Amino acid sequence: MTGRTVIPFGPQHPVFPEPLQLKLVLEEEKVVEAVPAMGYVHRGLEKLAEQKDFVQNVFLVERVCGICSFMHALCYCEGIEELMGIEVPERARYLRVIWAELSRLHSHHLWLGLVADALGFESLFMQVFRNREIIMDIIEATSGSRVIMGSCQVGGVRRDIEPSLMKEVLRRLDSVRYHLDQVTPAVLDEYTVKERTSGLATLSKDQAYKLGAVGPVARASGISLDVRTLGYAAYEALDFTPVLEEAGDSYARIVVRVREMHQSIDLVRQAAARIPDGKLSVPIKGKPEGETVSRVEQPRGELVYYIRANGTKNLERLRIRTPTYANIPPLLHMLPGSQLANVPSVVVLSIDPCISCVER
Amino acid sequence: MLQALELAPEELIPRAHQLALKGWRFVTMTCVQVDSGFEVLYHFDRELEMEHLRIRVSKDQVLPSITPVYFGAFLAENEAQDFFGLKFENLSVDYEGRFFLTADSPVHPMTRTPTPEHGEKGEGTRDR
Repeated sequence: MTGRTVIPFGPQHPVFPEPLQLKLVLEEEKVVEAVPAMGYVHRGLEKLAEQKDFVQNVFLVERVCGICSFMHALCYCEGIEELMGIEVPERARYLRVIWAELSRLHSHHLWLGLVADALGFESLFMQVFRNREIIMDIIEATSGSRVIMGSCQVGGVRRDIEPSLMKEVLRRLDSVRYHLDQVTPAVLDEYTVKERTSGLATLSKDQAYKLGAVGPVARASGISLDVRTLGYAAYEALDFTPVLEEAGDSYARIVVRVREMHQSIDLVRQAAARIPDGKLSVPIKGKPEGETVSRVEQPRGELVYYIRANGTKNLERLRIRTPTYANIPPLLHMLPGSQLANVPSVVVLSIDPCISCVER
Repeated sequence: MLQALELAPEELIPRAHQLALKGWRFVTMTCVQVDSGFEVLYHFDRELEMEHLRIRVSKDQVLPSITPVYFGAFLAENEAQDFFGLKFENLSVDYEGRFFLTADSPVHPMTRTPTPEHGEKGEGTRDR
């Protein structure tokens, strides 16, 4: 019988951008079990949210994650607006969609670049990051900041995208689309990428559902779960269907995200074409009271906020369930059977982990 | 606004089994401190519709873990053990209060009157 070895994988690893430790139980080079160890960068933001007032919390939740800061603000604001019965102006709802899809677009570019780098595909990494830079420039031009956008607020949005700037955004998105079209075959049809990722870390539809997978991880296993179909912000007025793949392997997760990058560009275009004139926000009157659950579709999947308010300026409880948190049990299911060399690049990166989201 | 079905602790596992059989996905669990102890909310989803269960427990009461039914709940239950001091029976992967926290972390920091320092403070190592 082969002896078993336990390897503490991480928290510092060249492929992981953030600290995550997995205790891997190995038989020779094959993983037979994995146990996560967390808590290296936990910040206690849920506790801090009880001490700030409900308007300040928008700035706080934006700092949960630097990649999808806007999504956290959006999810929080949608929840507070429901509690307070605030009707957000239509123009603000479309602007929220535009920034949300730009966030998804740059997040998926970041992930694709990291995957390319982890697979040793340096030229793809550079092409993808060059394209991402155009998106970051658009985000900076429209929100004033590259990372923490600060453009969402309770009752609407803080900034407008003027028609002239919108035209420029669409022109730059043409460039993003052009470069994306160039690199897409290099990702999806490239022999090395396919051979390296196909049939590995497979999650069946049934397993994915039972383990609570969300986002591209769920959709790559054939589960049509996309919170945008609920129609929050202005999604109900836009035409799109969730991107689905059936294979459930690492390659399928790559395909889903690459196709979603194209879809995000389309959604920004649709929103820009249909955005009406009007106010950006409405004034907030009173304090929130009651409890609700708010959900948005982050780049990594379903983001859930539970908010309980008691009619004062401070919330009684703010609970944040991020998509990476939901995708850890599926990851623990994918790891057994993998070769150790595939763990970082083919298995773990395929769920696009965001540790700052988990350790909020 | 959220409508939650109130259950007694002993009704939780049978209800979780029913939900699992009917295809409900476990979304997350939320622990809220109230005057009499804790409210524990379980959130489920099926085709983007949500169902919520609410269980009220006193401070020292032990809750049955739903991890035998929904394995993915082990993260949220361990988090509640760390931050609120809730105890779960039959937890599939039990970190015993050391999931996010370490030996020198504050005890149950999400409760409203946390003990400022852990009794074992000073060890300074990650004992997992």
